Amino acid sequence: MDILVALAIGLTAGLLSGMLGIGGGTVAVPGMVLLLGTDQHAAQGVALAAMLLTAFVGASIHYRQKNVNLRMAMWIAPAAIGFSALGAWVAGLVEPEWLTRVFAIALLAIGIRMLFFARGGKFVGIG
Amino acid sequence: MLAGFLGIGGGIILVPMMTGLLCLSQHRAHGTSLAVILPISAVGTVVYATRGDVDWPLAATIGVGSIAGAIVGARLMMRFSAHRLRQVFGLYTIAVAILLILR
Repeated sequence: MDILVALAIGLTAGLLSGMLGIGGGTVAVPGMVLLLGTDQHAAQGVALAAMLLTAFVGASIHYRQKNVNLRMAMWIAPAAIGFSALGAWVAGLVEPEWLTRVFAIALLAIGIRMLFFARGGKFVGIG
Repeated sequence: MLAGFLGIGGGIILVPMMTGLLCLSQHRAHGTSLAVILPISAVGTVVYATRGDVDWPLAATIGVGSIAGAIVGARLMMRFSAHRLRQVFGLYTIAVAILLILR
Protein backbone atom coordinates (compact mmCIF):
# COMPACT_ATOMS: atom_id res chain seq x y z
CA MET A 1 0.00 0.00 0.00
CA ASP A 2 2.75 2.39 0.99
CA ILE A 3 4.49 1.76 -2.30
CA LEU A 4 1.35 2.89 -4.17
CA VAL A 5 1.13 6.02 -2.01
CA ALA A 6 4.84 6.70 -2.69
CA LEU A 7 4.29 6.28 -6.46
CA ALA A 8 1.28 8.62 -6.28
CA ILE A 9 3.32 11.23 -4.39
CA GLY A 10 6.04 10.98 -7.03
CA LEU A 11 3.52 11.24 -9.89
CA THR A 12 1.86 14.32 -8.38
CA ALA A 13 5.22 15.95 -7.68
CA GLY A 14 6.36 15.22 -11.25
CA LEU A 15 3.10 16.40 -12.84
CA LEU A 16 3.27 19.74 -11.04
CA SER A 17 6.94 20.07 -11.75
CA GLY A 18 6.36 19.48 -15.46
CA MET A 19 3.38 21.83 -15.65
CA LEU A 20 4.61 24.70 -13.49
CA GLY A 21 8.36 24.38 -13.61
CA ILE A 22 8.28 23.76 -9.90
CA GLY A 23 10.19 20.96 -8.28
CA GLY A 24 9.18 17.89 -6.40
CA GLY A 25 10.27 18.91 -2.91
CA THR A 26 7.31 21.12 -2.06
CA VAL A 27 4.94 18.26 -2.92
CA ALA A 28 7.00 15.21 -1.96
CA VAL A 29 8.07 16.34 1.54
CA PRO A 30 4.58 17.17 2.92
CA GLY A 31 3.21 14.14 1.03
CA MET A 32 5.55 11.80 2.90
CA VAL A 33 5.09 13.56 6.26
CA LEU A 34 1.27 13.69 6.08
CA LEU A 35 0.44 10.47 4.19
CA LEU A 36 3.27 8.10 5.09
CA GLY A 37 4.10 9.47 8.54
CA THR A 38 7.75 9.90 7.54
CA ASP A 39 9.88 11.90 9.96
CA GLN A 40 10.67 15.42 8.68
CA HIS A 41 14.43 14.85 8.33
CA ALA A 42 13.97 11.53 6.53
CA ALA A 43 11.34 13.06 4.22
CA GLN A 44 13.75 15.84 3.23
CA GLY A 45 16.58 13.38 2.66
CA VAL A 46 14.38 11.18 0.47
CA ALA A 47 13.07 14.23 -1.45
CA LEU A 48 16.63 15.31 -2.26
CA ALA A 49 17.61 11.81 -3.39
CA ALA A 50 14.47 11.50 -5.56
CA MET A 51 15.13 14.98 -6.97
CA LEU A 52 18.59 13.83 -8.01
CA LEU A 53 16.94 11.33 -10.38
CA THR A 54 14.29 13.78 -11.64
CA ALA A 55 16.75 16.68 -12.10
CA PHE A 56 19.13 14.39 -14.00
CA VAL A 57 16.42 13.33 -16.47
CA GLY A 58 15.05 16.90 -16.72
CA ALA A 59 18.45 18.49 -17.17
CA SER A 60 19.50 16.00 -19.88
CA ILE A 61 16.28 16.63 -21.85
CA HIS A 62 16.76 20.41 -21.57
CA TYR A 63 20.45 20.04 -22.45
CA ARG A 64 19.63 18.16 -25.65
CA GLN A 65 17.15 20.90 -26.55
CA LYS A 66 19.97 23.40 -25.92
CA ASN A 67 18.02 24.99 -23.08
CA VAL A 68 20.85 24.87 -20.57
CA ASN A 69 23.16 27.83 -20.18
CA LEU A 70 26.14 25.77 -19.00
CA ARG A 71 28.39 28.74 -18.32
CA MET A 72 25.80 30.33 -16.05
CA ALA A 73 25.13 27.00 -14.31
CA MET A 74 28.85 26.70 -13.58
CA TRP A 75 28.96 30.20 -12.11
CA ILE A 76 25.99 29.54 -9.84
CA ALA A 77 26.75 25.93 -8.88
CA PRO A 78 29.72 26.41 -6.46
CA ALA A 79 27.85 28.84 -4.19
CA ALA A 80 24.67 26.77 -4.42
CA ILE A 81 26.58 23.58 -3.51
CA GLY A 82 28.28 25.26 -0.54
CA PHE A 83 25.06 26.66 0.84
CA SER A 84 23.21 23.39 0.23
CA ALA A 85 25.80 21.51 2.31
CA LEU A 86 25.59 24.18 5.03
CA GLY A 87 21.77 24.08 5.00
CA ALA A 88 21.71 20.28 5.18
CA TRP A 89 24.16 20.37 8.10
CA VAL A 90 22.15 23.00 10.01
CA ALA A 91 18.93 21.00 9.41
CA GLY A 92 20.55 18.08 11.24
CA LEU A 93 20.90 20.24 14.37
CA VAL A 94 17.21 21.22 14.44
CA GLU A 95 14.50 19.19 16.21
CA PRO A 96 12.06 17.52 13.73
CA GLU A 97 9.03 19.44 15.11
CA TRP A 98 10.77 22.75 14.54
CA LEU A 99 11.99 21.72 11.10
CA THR A 100 8.36 20.91 10.17
CA ARG A 101 7.28 24.35 11.40
CA VAL A 102 9.98 26.16 9.43
CA PHE A 103 9.07 24.07 6.36
CA ALA A 104 5.36 24.95 6.81
CA ILE A 105 6.15 28.68 7.07
CA ALA A 106 8.28 28.50 3.90
CA LEU A 107 5.39 26.72 2.11
CA LEU A 108 2.98 29.40 3.32
CA ALA A 109 5.26 32.12 1.90
CA ILE A 110 5.53 30.23 -1.42
CA GLY A 111 1.75 29.82 -1.58
CA ILE A 112 1.02 33.48 -0.87
CA ARG A 113 3.60 34.51 -3.47
CA MET A 114 2.03 32.14 -6.04
CA LEU A 115 -1.49 33.42 -5.34
CA PHE A 116 -0.80 37.13 -5.35
CA PHE A 117 2.11 37.42 -7.76
CA ALA A 118 0.81 34.98 -10.35
CA ARG A 119 0.09 37.64 -12.94
CA GLY A 120 1.68 38.26 -16.31
CA GLY A 121 1.86 34.60 -17.35
CA LYS A 122 5.47 34.59 -16.18
CA PHE A 123 6.57 31.27 -14.75
CA VAL A 124 8.35 31.15 -11.46
CA GLY A 125 9.82 27.80 -10.53
CA ILE A 126 10.34 25.96 -7.33
CA GLY A 127 13.03 23.33 -7.04
CA MET B 1 20.83 26.89 1.67
CA LEU B 2 17.05 26.53 1.56
CA ALA B 3 17.46 23.42 -0.56
CA GLY B 4 19.66 21.65 1.95
CA PHE B 5 17.76 22.93 4.96
CA LEU B 6 14.24 22.22 3.75
CA GLY B 7 14.77 19.50 1.18
CA ILE B 8 13.45 21.57 -1.71
CA GLY B 9 15.42 22.19 -4.86
CA GLY B 10 16.07 25.91 -4.84
CA GLY B 11 14.35 26.56 -8.17
CA ILE B 12 11.91 28.93 -6.45
CA ILE B 13 14.86 31.27 -6.01
CA LEU B 14 16.88 30.26 -9.07
CA VAL B 15 14.27 30.64 -11.81
CA PRO B 16 13.03 34.15 -10.92
CA MET B 17 16.63 35.28 -10.37
CA MET B 18 17.64 34.00 -13.79
CA THR B 19 14.67 35.49 -15.66
CA GLY B 20 14.69 38.73 -13.66
CA LEU B 21 18.30 39.60 -12.90
CA LEU B 22 20.11 37.68 -15.62
CA CYS B 23 17.53 38.12 -18.40
CA LEU B 24 17.36 34.44 -19.34
CA SER B 25 14.29 33.22 -21.26
CA GLN B 26 11.83 31.08 -19.27
CA HIS B 27 12.84 27.87 -21.05
CA ARG B 28 16.56 28.45 -20.60
CA ALA B 29 16.02 29.46 -16.99
CA HIS B 30 14.13 26.23 -16.36
CA GLY B 31 16.83 24.11 -18.02
CA THR B 32 19.70 25.94 -16.35
CA SER B 33 18.01 25.80 -12.95
CA LEU B 34 17.65 22.01 -13.31
CA ALA B 35 21.36 21.79 -14.14
CA VAL B 36 22.14 23.68 -10.92
CA ILE B 37 19.63 21.65 -8.86
CA LEU B 38 21.48 18.47 -9.87
CA PRO B 39 24.69 19.20 -7.86
CA ILE B 40 22.64 20.85 -5.08
CA SER B 41 20.52 17.75 -4.55
CA ALA B 42 23.61 15.52 -4.88
CA VAL B 43 25.39 17.35 -2.04
CA GLY B 44 22.21 17.48 0.05
CA THR B 45 21.61 13.76 -0.48
CA VAL B 46 25.16 12.91 0.66
CA VAL B 47 24.80 14.96 3.87
CA TYR B 48 21.39 13.43 4.69
CA ALA B 49 22.62 9.93 3.78
CA THR B 50 25.57 10.14 6.19
CA ARG B 51 23.02 10.84 8.94
CA GLY B 52 21.01 7.81 7.82
CA ASP B 53 18.11 10.00 6.68
CA VAL B 54 17.75 8.56 3.16
CA ASP B 55 15.39 5.62 2.61
CA TRP B 56 16.73 4.57 -0.83
CA PRO B 57 13.85 2.32 -1.98
CA LEU B 58 11.34 5.06 -1.07
CA ALA B 59 13.46 7.68 -2.89
CA ALA B 60 13.66 5.46 -6.00
CA THR B 61 9.87 4.86 -5.97
CA ILE B 62 9.10 8.57 -5.66
CA GLY B 63 11.78 9.41 -8.24
CA VAL B 64 10.34 6.99 -10.82
CA GLY B 65 6.79 8.26 -10.23
CA SER B 66 8.06 11.81 -10.47
CA ILE B 67 9.79 11.28 -13.83
CA ALA B 68 6.61 9.74 -15.29
CA GLY B 69 4.58 12.66 -13.90
CA ALA B 70 7.02 15.24 -15.24
CA ILE B 71 6.84 13.84 -18.79
CA VAL B 72 3.02 13.91 -18.73
CA GLY B 73 3.01 17.31 -17.01
CA ALA B 74 5.26 18.94 -19.60
CA ARG B 75 2.80 17.84 -22.33
CA LEU B 76 -0.30 18.90 -20.35
CA MET B 77 1.18 22.32 -19.59
CA MET B 78 0.08 23.75 -22.93
CA ARG B 79 -3.59 23.00 -22.21
CA PHE B 80 -3.90 25.04 -19.03
CA SER B 81 -3.34 28.70 -18.31
CA ALA B 82 -0.16 29.22 -16.31
CA HIS B 83 -1.95 31.84 -14.24
CA ARG B 84 -4.73 29.44 -13.18
CA LEU B 85 -2.24 26.65 -12.42
CA ARG B 86 -0.25 28.96 -10.19
CA GLN B 87 -3.40 30.01 -8.31
CA VAL B 88 -4.37 26.38 -7.70
CA PHE B 89 -0.86 25.49 -6.60
CA GLY B 90 -0.75 28.56 -4.33
CA LEU B 91 -3.98 27.46 -2.61
CA TYR B 92 -2.65 23.92 -2.32
CA THR B 93 0.63 24.99 -0.64
CA ILE B 94 -1.24 27.23 1.84
CA ALA B 95 -3.59 24.34 2.73
CA VAL B 96 -0.67 21.92 3.20
CA ALA B 97 1.23 24.48 5.31
CA ILE B 98 -1.80 24.80 7.63
CA LEU B 99 -2.15 20.99 7.87
CA LEU B 100 1.55 20.67 8.77
CA ILE B 101 1.30 23.35 11.46
CA LEU B 102 -1.84 21.81 13.00
CA ARG B 103 -0.44 18.27 12.95
